[in-house]
Amino acid sequence: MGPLVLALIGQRDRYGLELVKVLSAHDLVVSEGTVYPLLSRLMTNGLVESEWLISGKDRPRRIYRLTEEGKNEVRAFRSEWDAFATSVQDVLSENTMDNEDREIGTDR
Amino acid sequence: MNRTTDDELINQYLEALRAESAVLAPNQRAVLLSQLENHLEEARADGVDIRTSIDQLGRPEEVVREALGEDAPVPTAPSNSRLITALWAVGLVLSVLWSVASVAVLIWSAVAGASQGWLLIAAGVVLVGGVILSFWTARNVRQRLQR
Repeated sequence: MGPLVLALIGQRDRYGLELVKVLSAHDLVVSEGTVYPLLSRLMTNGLVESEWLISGKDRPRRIYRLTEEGKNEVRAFRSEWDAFATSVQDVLSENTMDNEDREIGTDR
Repeated sequence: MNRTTDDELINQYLEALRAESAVLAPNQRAVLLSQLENHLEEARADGVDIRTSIDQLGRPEEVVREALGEDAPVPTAPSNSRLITALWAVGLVLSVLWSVASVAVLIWSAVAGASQGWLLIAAGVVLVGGVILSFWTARNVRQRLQR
């Protein structure tokens, strides 16, 4: 979950509710409240920083943004994930081919 | 949704969270409470139904469990832990009684004479078992009491 939160904050600075709603919309989180302790951990680890945004008549909002270290983390995760996803895809498509072979072989 | 009811719902949730989060470090607890208060205030400002927002946040204990993380000490139920200590203590008493009984058999068979040689060996083996068991249970009871 951590890398996904980082990736979302990496797209643009986000405030808490917005971040939680995006994760929730993708069915990535069951209890929305648990995202906040995760955010705190990411801040403790120096990957995310937060500040209060005060604009005009709107009430102040705490926004979250990536630190340089956080950006590096997202880059690293992205390349690892791409490699992993490719491997999984390769294995799955091999599996499909095996099944088709077997069906052709065993049919009648 | 009525604003007063929303206020009440938010306060109830935050109160429950405040109680539940007492196990956290003070600073961590303050941040968590402010984050969730902020979340609910934002939801209200955006016109989202507060009851639904609270349901989606999850129970306070779930949020606190997440905040405790994996490496945090999991608070064990004291009653459960006391019960296990009591069971170890019962085990200790039984193994000491076992050792005493085998000493009694040893003495008795020694008094009875050489014809009871097999009884002497059997009682000796049983005594060694009892002593080992006594030391083991005693160590466990001591460790549990020190916690």
